[in-house]
Amino acid sequence: MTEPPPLDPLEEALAHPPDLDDGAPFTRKVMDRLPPRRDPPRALLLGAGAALAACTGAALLARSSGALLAALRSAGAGALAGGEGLAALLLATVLGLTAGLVAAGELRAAGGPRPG
Amino acid sequence: MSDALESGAADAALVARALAGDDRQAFAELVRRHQGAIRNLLRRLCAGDGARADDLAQETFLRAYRRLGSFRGQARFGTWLHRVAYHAYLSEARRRPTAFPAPPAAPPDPELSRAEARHDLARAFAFLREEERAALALSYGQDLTHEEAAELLGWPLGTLKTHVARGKERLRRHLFPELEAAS
Repeated sequence: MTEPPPLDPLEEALAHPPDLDDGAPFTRKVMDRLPPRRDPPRALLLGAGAALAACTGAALLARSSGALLAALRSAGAGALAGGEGLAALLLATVLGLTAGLVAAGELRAAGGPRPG
Repeated sequence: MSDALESGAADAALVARALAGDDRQAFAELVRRHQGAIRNLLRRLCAGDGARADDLAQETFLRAYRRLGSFRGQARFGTWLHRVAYHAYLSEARRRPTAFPAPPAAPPDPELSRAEARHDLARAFAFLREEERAALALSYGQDLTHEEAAELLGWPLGTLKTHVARGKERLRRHLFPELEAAS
């Protein structure tokens, strides 16, 4: 009967790394270091708030654009300078940008694993 | 169904649960299932420095948690995690002042040192060049094929095999000189 070839001790050692502990303390440490849990109600509120801000901004923008066009058509450039159309347009732009930036910042800070 | 397929399916289900509702229990189960392999991989890459390896393993799982959404399921979760671990190791190694120390000179008591290294092979990885260390650490004891290890390292398969062969030769020379002499 032929003997099986002797095992290469290096191959054996390479293929079988030593058993570590059961990993419970390690797992606990990892879980303790995870970022704070995402709060679904808060995320929903932020999303709804951002959507509302966007709708409001769009409505204001449409209304002020109408006013601006009307001012341009009826009174020319002179009416524009002191008219409510330009002021409303500027206000709507600033409000829209601010709401967008705040919502984006809050959503980014909400944390948790991000779907790709 | 084979064990590997079952294990891959279980991992995929846990990833889906962790993503869908930020299910921490599901993520903890992923950590439990893979911590042994990742810690052993990093121990070898860190040449037996267990504390450094465990710090990097924690960093690996934190990175994995943050990037879980980018796991598409084309590769096995374990393979993807090995990639995250290797990149965590590379980032840390680049920041270290002596990132890739030269292999140690002959130890004061070669016999004792050899016995220790045989007992804990990861420490003997200090004798290897960086490429050999990476090639051997990923190709042995990690449930990765040579093809997967080569792809992860961004090397052609032949390059990986060359580094594996050279690394083994160097380890054999240090740890088992009697075998080297006999061959």
